[in-house]
Amino acid sequence: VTGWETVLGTSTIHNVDEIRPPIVEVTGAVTGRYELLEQADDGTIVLGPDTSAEAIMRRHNSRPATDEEFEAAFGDLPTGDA
Amino acid sequence: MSRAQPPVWRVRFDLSAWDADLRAASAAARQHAERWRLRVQIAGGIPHAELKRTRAEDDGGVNLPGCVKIRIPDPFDEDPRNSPWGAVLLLARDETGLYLAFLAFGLRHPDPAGRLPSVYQRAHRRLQRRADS
Repeated sequence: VTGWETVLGTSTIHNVDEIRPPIVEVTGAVTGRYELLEQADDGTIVLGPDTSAEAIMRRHNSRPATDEEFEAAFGDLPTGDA
Repeated sequence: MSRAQPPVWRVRFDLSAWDADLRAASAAARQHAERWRLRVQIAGGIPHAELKRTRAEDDGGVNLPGCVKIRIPDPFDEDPRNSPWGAVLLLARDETGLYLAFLAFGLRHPDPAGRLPSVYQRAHRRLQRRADS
């Protein structure tokens, strides 16, 4: 999907990375970052919400814990097959 | 247990990720997952003792820094060790303090012949996006 760009109605979709499924940024009638779930030969595309950790943190107005915070919180826990 | 460890960890569920994982799951898995989420909400979170750390990196290249994992118990089998389902949660901080952010739900060890990613692979992909995007 390198360089991929599609115009849908009044929305322009720009590819912003190449990890599958790709993340696309939509501007226009619909705005935001989405996952490209399907892309058919006839041009039909299916978008879903961005479920990356970065997007989740943004929606929660949060940041990942630091290594020090993680060790203080879970340093006592066993590691292994959950 | 230090001051950084509450007996029950607050959990926030991102419904976009939650819905995506449940859409990919079987009907039985969805039922287990919804019951577990309801139980977490009623309890106000997940007990510290039910959590486990993730390995630094497994043979498949899955790397889940900052994450813990938990088995999703089968309501018909009280021993959670028998459950094929699990969840991965990311330790995060919001305006009120540390909490666990739901990151992924799914099979812990899916049939290698199938094409379903494990819950750890799902979580890994979501974490990598954070690093690469």
